Amino acid sequence: MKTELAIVGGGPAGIAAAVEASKYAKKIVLIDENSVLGGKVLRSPKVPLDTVHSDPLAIKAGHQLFDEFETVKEKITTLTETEVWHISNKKVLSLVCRSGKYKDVNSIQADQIILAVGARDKTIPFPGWHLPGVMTIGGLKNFIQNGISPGKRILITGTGVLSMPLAAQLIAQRVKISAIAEAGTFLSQAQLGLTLLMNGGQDKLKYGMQCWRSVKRKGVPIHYSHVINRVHGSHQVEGASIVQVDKNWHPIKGTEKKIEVDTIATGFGLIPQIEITRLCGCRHTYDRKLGFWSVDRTPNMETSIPGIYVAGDGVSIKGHTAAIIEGQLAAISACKRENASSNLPVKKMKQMRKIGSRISEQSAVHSGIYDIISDDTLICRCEEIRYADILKAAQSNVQDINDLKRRTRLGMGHCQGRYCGEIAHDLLQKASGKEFKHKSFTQRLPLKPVTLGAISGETNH
Amino acid sequence: MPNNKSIEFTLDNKTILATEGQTIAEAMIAAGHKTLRISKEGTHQGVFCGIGVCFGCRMIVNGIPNIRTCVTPVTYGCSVQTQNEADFVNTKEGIHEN
Repeated sequence: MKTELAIVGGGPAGIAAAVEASKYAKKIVLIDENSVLGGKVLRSPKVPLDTVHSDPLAIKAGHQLFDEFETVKEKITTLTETEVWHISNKKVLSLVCRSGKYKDVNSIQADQIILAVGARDKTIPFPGWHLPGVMTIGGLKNFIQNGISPGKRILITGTGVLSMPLAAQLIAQRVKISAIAEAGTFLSQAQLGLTLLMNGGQDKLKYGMQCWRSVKRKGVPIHYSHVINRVHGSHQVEGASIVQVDKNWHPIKGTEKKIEVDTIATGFGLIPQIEITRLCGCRHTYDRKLGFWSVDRTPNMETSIPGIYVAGDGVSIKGHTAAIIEGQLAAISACKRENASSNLPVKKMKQMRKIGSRISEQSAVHSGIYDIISDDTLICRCEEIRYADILKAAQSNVQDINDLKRRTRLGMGHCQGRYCGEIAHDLLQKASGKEFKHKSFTQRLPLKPVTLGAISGETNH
Repeated sequence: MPNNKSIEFTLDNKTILATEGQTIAEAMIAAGHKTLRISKEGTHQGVFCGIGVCFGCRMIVNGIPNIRTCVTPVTYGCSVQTQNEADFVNTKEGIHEN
């Protein structure tokens, strides 16, 4: 298959890019790994507008976007349940389409590419975090949004702005929340409100306050400066303990409290998914304040590789409003219609980016939290590598995290280091007591595990 | 959800009802089934990221192992099995299910 423009990721940024590009380009391919478009934020076009248990701003934006998409969808080739596992330097996308009418398509030659793959939750390991019943905040939200509760008594723990909306959604669906353990202070949350107020985020602040009030009304205990420090249960979550932390998030001895729970939602903000831009060879920068790597881009959303553009939370965290505008901007740039960008609400985009950066700064992890990790805590969930394995390797002159990976198999499992890779650097420093240059695991193909048959070009998977 | 047609499928040879449009992982959670795979070391794991990244929810679907159930919709009559990786053995041809 050949196309003028290939868009990877069918969330807010990707859909907006496709809609915008349909004005200028004849051949557009939109690819997503889920069976429905919408991404992590919008998830599904089927959520009714009056749904009480979801972010009304996202639903409203989603409806508008899906309505626009509906009017142009004949012009767009949409591949769902499709995994992109490689992009060559000739802009050939290798893919596996799992079902539907494009099942036989295994590669697409594109003139231009927009990568809009979004973000994922940043997680910090704790003893027992691998057990069934522990989920990411974003993951649990997806289930709740579709009316399914993974448990009857929930603990929400971590930091950032996603806890309160999740709590409000759970309350709306009459699911009991045992407690919220927020690593940050009440003051840090209040400061965030101020940032929203001063940067045009009034609607987001209003929604946040609504969520907070519903949590207070329900009497859900909110423990500020607290984090989870262990899960009870051997085969699934049967309880949890939380512990108070100091200003660097070191656990304070003697402050442990047991909480009755069967399900735990954990997350420390969101991080951009940069595996795909790294595989393409785009330049990236690590931002210590934000606590993540992001891809370098021009004001027109082009990366350091000509013809490869980016948009949305896969670049930096800013939410759906700015992601939609970035998607439009990337499409305009990729289609070489720069004059069209004067109609875009660029000011709003910049405000939302600023708010997003503040939120990311506030969610950046303080190193004391790693003290909750015990020697037998799984760090790599896939290969079952424990902190003791890192400690052992650290005693024998490890060079960097790639060396650590070779010695321990950390990050060599199915998720390809997407969770342990984020913290491998910090844990190596902690285990060895030495400073290391900040690195990521080397990115290699395939981007997601695929069968040898798929790599050899078979399409009857 | 406006679409609520039920579909039957099997989990470890038992019949389960799901709602059309649900992912397998959603149907598992709705049925109260939390352990989706057991690792070589015997660790129970289930849905973690819910967005197709962590592979914690991988199961055997229609005989094919390592299917991420959180991005795979339930289809009528599909066969879903808990993935017990202790049962996987190495053979000359590669890794097969026992």
